[in-house]
Amino acid sequence: MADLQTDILHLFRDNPVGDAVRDIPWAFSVSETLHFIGLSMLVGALLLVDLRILGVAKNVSYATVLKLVPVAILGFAINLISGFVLFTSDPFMYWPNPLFKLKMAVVVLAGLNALWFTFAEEKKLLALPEGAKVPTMIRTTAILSLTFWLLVILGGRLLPTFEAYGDVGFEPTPVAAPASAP
Amino acid sequence: MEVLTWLENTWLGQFIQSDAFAHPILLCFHAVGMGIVVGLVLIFDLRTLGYPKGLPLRTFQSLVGLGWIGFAMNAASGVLMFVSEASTILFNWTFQLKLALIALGGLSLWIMGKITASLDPLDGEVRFPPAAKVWAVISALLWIGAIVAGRYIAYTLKPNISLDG
Repeated sequence: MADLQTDILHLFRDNPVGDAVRDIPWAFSVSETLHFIGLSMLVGALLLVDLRILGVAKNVSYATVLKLVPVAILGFAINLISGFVLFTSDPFMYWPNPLFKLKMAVVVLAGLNALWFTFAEEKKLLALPEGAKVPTMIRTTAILSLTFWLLVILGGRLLPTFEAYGDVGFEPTPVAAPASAP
Repeated sequence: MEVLTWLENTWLGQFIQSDAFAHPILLCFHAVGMGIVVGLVLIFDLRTLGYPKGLPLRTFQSLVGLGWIGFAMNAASGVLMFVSEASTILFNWTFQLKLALIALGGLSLWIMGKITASLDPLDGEVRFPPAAKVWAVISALLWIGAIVAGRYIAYTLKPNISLDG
C-alpha cells in the first residue's frame, strides 16, 4: 500500500509541472497568490448565493444570484489548478500531513454538496412561488456549503502547522534536478 | 523606534511569538476575513461592470455589515500579528505597500458609494455610470494587489527562505 502511494506521489512530483514549479523561483509564490485570489472569488460568489437562500436580500430572484455560480466555479478552477501546481512542488511533504488529507476530503464533500444542489435542488428552488418558504433540504445545502468552504480555508491555512514531512516512512527518491537554492 | 521593540516585548507580543498556535490561528482569521472582504468587493465590482443583471444596489447595501465584520476580523488579527513583529514588519516594503493598497481600496469603495448614491437602490436593471465602472476596475486591482502584497510579506520577512519554499 505504501509502495502504491509512493509510486503515485512520484507521478505527481516527477512531471513537467513539478519540475517547473521547483525550477522557476517565482512559480510557487505566484501559485500561492492565485490560490488566495481564487479563494476570494469562490467565497464572494457563494456568500451571495447561500445567504440569499438563507433569507438575505429577499427582493432578488434566485435566478439572478445563481448567475454568480459560474464565478464560484471559476474561483474553484483557479484553485484546483494552482493547488495542483503547489502539490507537485513537493507531494512527499503535503501527503503525509493529516490536515492535507482532511482538507481534500472536505473539498470533495463541498463538491458533492454543490452537485447535489445543482442537480437535485436547484429546479425546486427556481420553481418556488415568490415569498414561499425555502425547503429545509435546500437551506441545508446552503449551510453545508458555507460550513465546508470555511473548513477548507481553515484547513489550508493551517497546513504548515501540521506538516509531518517524513513521518510516514515514505522513501522518495531525490528529485532529478535539485530545487533552486535555499 | 523603541516603541516597536516595546510592543514586541509586551506580554501579548511575546505570547504571539512563542505560542505554537497563536500565529496560525490569527492567520486563519486573516484568511477568512480576506475571503469575505475581497470576495464581496469583487462581486460588487463585477455587478458595477454589468454582471449579473437583476442584482440591485440594495443587495450590496445589505451586505455592507458583513463586509465590515470581515474587515474587523482582519484588522484585529492584523494588529495582533503586527504587535508580535512590530520592529521588523513596519519597515518591510511589502507590508507598507499592502497597507497603502488597502487604504486606496477603501477609498475606491467610498468613491463608488458616492457615484452610485443617486441611483435607484431597488432597480435590478440599474445602469452604472462610466465613472463607477472605471472605479470598479481600479477597486478590483487594488484589493487583488493587497492580497499579492500580503502574500509576499511572508517571503520578504524571512530572507533565508527562498521564493520557492
